[in-house]
Amino acid sequence: MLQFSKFFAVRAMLAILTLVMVSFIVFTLMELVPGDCAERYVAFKNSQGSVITPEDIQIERVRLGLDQPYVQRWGSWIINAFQGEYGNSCILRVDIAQLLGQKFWLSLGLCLSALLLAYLIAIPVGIIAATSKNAVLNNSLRLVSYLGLALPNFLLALMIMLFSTVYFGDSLTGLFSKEYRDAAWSTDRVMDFLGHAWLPIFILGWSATAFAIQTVRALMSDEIGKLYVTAAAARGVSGRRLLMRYPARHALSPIINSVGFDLNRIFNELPIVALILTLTEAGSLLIEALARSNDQQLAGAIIFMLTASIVALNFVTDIILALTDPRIRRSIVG
Amino acid sequence: MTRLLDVENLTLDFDTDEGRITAVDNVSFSLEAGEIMGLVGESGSGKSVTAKALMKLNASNSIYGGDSKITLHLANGPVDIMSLQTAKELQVVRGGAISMIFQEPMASFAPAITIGAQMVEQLLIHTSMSALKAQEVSIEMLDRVGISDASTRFKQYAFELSGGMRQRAMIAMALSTNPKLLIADEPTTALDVTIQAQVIDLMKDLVKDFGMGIVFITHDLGVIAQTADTVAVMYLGRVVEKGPVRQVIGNPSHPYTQGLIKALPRLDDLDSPLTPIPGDIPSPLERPDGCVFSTRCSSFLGPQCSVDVPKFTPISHDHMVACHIYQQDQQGASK
Amino acid sequence: MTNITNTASSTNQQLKEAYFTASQGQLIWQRFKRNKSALAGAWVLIILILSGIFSPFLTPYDATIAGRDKGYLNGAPQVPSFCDDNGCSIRPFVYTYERSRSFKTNFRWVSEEKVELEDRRYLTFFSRGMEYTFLGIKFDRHLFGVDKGMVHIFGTDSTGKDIYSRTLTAINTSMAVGTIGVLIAFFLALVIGGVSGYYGGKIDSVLQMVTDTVRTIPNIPLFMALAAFIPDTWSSEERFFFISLVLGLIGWTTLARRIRTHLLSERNQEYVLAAQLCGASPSHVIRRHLLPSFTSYIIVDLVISFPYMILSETALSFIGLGLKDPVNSLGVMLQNVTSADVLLNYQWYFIPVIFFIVLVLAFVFVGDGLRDAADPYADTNK
Repeated sequence: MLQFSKFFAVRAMLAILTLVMVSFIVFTLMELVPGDCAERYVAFKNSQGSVITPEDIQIERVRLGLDQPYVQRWGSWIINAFQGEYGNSCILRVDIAQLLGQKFWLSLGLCLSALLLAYLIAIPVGIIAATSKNAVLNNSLRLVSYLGLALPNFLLALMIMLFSTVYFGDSLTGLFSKEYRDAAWSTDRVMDFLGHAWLPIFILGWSATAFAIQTVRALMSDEIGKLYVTAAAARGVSGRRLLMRYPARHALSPIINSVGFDLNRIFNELPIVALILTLTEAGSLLIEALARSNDQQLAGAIIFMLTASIVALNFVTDIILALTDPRIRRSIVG
Repeated sequence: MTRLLDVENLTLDFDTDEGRITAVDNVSFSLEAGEIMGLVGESGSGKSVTAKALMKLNASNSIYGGDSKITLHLANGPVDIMSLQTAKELQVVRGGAISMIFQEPMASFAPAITIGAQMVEQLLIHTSMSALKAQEVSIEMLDRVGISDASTRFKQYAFELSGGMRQRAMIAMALSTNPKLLIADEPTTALDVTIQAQVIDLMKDLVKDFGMGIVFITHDLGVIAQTADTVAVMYLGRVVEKGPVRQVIGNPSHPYTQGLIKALPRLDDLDSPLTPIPGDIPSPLERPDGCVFSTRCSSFLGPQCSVDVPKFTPISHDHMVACHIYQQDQQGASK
Repeated sequence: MTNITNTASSTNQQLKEAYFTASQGQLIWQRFKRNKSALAGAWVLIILILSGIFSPFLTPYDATIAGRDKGYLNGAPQVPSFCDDNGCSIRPFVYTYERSRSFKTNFRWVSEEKVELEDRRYLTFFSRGMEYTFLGIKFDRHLFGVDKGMVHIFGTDSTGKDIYSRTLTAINTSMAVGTIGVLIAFFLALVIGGVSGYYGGKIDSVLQMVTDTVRTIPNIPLFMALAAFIPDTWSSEERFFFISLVLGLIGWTTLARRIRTHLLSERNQEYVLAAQLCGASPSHVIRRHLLPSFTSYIIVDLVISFPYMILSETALSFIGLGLKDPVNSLGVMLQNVTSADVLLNYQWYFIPVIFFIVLVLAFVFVGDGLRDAADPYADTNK
């Protein structure tokens, strides 16, 4: 087990290193925006009628710690980021962590549910597709996967919005109904949430499912063609046991591998879908921050958290892979 | 010796995107218990397909000819293999009465399942042993084929064994259910020459001990000469010559067999030129009418070879050849 | 008799020779041709691309504010017809529309077809219209127009711009952005993947970390962040190039990874060693020996990454971070589509969406077809 903990530790180190590099990119982007926090704050004050001088800007700068060298500022940003603290937003002058609050977890929940849904559908369908010779089934699956590729989530969201507004009125938007928006969590709130959340989960899961079906199907097809499956059949293994224990079991590894990418894709599509459906969560907040208010601190924080989730999930899938694939397991333990 | 296997008029077509391909055309042979029969031919001759047909292991787009009949004579009666349809029905044969070992031992073991688990699984399907007993029997079998430290190997994965050990393990797995017929599909092709010899010796020992028949598929005439009792030479889906090994190799009668033997490099005369068989094997989509070898035959007789399919004529009482040269001779002799 | 058999076998021989000496490209083309859906996709793609390129000619009006129809804001599509109760005519025509708004219509402009059926407006072909420059030469002929007023076969938007004209120019713009983006991404992937795969070792590890990092950050948020940098003062052309650059800068990771994996396995092959022993420089070996071994994969990847570029640009412009007026793309056209007003009343705003779905589908079909044609071991069990 010692070797395994070594593997675990190495992987964890790599994950953290990746996050540090990501934070570097994100922080640099934040810094490159012209005009810093101090100027903005002072401009705000200015718009409220008070007169400001360049000295005021400098004082503000020192107060915010903006005169420290780059590396130092980056260092403290990272350390805070790892603890979930992102400081205050320049534009809104609110603590970012508080602003994000539950919203980020809602986003994560939506994305993970979409991912889960996608694989729940894709694995059985992909396996069936790989083994069936039914031309109709194969062609319709191909069509579905093409549509999934060609009709990206936000276009789908738009079309659904179009139809639902024309025929049903404005009932499908948002994550909560008015009365539950800021209420405390209760079973009723959960039910309300689920009643609204199925639509974004469906839309987000749409192309993820199409991709996943293709992936599962291709992997299964590959495995089924391999010699060990024929050899097993020659030994008398048959039916479902032959399918599940041999090709399916071995296709599992690459599928687990691809889960990390799928989450990346889903995160990609979340902000725009959220915007269209007017969901109150981190994705639409990100768009607000970037497109409207130019709030780099908030945007940076959200991007960092999104990437951190992806890195975390990739780390988890790596560990799961090591546990389930004996080839990897043996090479670690020796 | 008792008759173990009768193959009569086996014909197998494949229904592919490019058309209907005939892979095996009217093949007949028989095998006795305790006999090793070699099935020799180049790639594309149909030998693997023939062997797999014995367990109906070919792909789902295979179409068997109406006259095809494969009978396996077991202790409790003959089994008509063509009549078995579903995988469940075929379980009697697959891994039970007939076992098969493949060319690539690494590729025939499932990579993520231990060797032991796969062996036990086979035993549990075909016998009523308990799991514990199955484990015992498997480890015993591994030991029998010469794998040291069998109980440790039992728990290992295929990638942890060396090439020769893997092949032995595969043989152990195939023999654990005490099959009456073993099909060996190019078992020595992927091995070094020294390991080849070991594996062949092992197989010959096991035949003596278990009394089973072996169908040994290869393209290597040298291995056949050393190992087999009888041999059938195949070309493009048909058997062109068959008989006892000494006779077929000592007195090759079909032009193709003669060509194969002439093409072997001679270790005793290092300066002699290599004489391959001229021409290329035709694509299975363009099988020649009449004798399948007619397009490359140096003893081509004329239109008869391109039109009529030659029938088997005996050279000696169990050495048969399908060639118009001998057919004519026989007809001439009988006149 | 023998003559006939001789010619038959010699044509056979010629066919065989043609097959054996065919170049890789020719072989791929042969296989591609057999795939009907891919061929159909290719035709659709060609038609759409050509309509984009020739859009100034094919469309009657300028797609920007300059070409708007002030008297027909948010107007429904005007479909030309050939016959009506007044008799048929060879030339298609449309009716005159009178617009009114009142309390009854919630103060929205509503068109009413004038009852007088004699008041037709005939479509004219190869008519003179607004001037445009194409390949440096000024033209003023358009494919069609109308003798009085303006015709809008896809309707108009809230400022009166003709949606049909905008759709065709949008296709053009999106294709242009996609092309540049793909080229930049390709170049980056080639360099980074090539160096990484060829040299291996430490260089590879470092480059891989960088690639993985860029790959892990979700693309669209990253696009948005980069795109947010564009000062408002930039001209639309500068915006255009910057967006393409951004798309390329983020899109290189998948192809780079593939190139690197392929090179890592190929560089130990004997033919590489042989080339090196002959004194070939690393770049020569990469360019002339390693890369041609999988040009087919590269081509397929390029074709398949096109739709992603186009869709990413659409997403960006949709949020307002990408292209802006007067440059026109699908994203720009969709900017105002989410208001309930539009969804309820002006559904024709969505017509360009259909064009884009068709465009992306065509790319996907062609890309898939190319992949199947290039890979001889593709499974036949479709």
